[in-house]
Amino acid sequence: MISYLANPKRFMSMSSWAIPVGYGLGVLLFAWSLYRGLFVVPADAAQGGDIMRAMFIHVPSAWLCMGLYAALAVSSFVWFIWRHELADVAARAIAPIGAGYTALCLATGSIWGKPTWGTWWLWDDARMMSVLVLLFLFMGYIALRAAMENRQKAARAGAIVAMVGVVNVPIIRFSVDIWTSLHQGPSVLRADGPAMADVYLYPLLIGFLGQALIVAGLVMALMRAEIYRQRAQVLLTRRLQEA
Amino acid sequence: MGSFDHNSGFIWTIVGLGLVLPFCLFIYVTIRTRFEKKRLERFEAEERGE
Repeated sequence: MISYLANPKRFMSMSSWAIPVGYGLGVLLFAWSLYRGLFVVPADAAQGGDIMRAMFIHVPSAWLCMGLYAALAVSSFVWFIWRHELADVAARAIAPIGAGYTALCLATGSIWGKPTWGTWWLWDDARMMSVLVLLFLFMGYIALRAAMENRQKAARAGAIVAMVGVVNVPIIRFSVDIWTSLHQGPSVLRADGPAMADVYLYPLLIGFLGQALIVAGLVMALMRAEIYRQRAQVLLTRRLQEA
Repeated sequence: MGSFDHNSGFIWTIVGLGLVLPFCLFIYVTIRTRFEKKRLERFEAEERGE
């Protein structure tokens, strides 16, 4: 499937219908999840009352930013080993979306933290700091690519940063188990099954699926922009050589 | 608007951010795609001598 789509022409054809479908379905699922999370599910007194409704925004953004970094690392690996240009196009498109969702995760987490823990930020909290490092990795990736004079050098340097930085993803995941953190332990992805009641779990998972579809649409649209840019660059280079 | 406890300001700020970010990304991505597509189409038209 992936190797079939790893052809720019096939990708352009597939993405022309996949993007609107992703956006449409994603918005519907996200809206349903938000409606359930805000107005239907009961407030949980053990989680600080109504403020736990922030979970339906914050938790999907946290899963997405980690998933996007993992996707950035995989795309970079594919480009680094097989030099597949579409993998580099994907990596380049994932980075700004990932940076945006990481910033969202940090901002919503900080706002949720104030009424729950009495503080906006803690510098010695392993989870907060590892997510902040993730934001710096995304921004560093974007800045490094922009600083390189040609695309091959930019792709190589970016791929190395992305592959080395992926070590931060399991650090974020297991930070609450290894170090001290105000965050609670995992409540969904656990060896003995989710610890969360179904009334919260299903809207959360469906909201995550909705946001993931929106993100997939955004990434594919940015990949199309990058393919257009590269084709224009080829024409421009040819014209300069002829002149 | 739902009526929440004393933390409603925090809740609505978080919800607002959660809606604004995908919307802003959507605007950025749409503008960027249209710009790059039009630029390519202009170059292709110039190649054909139009």
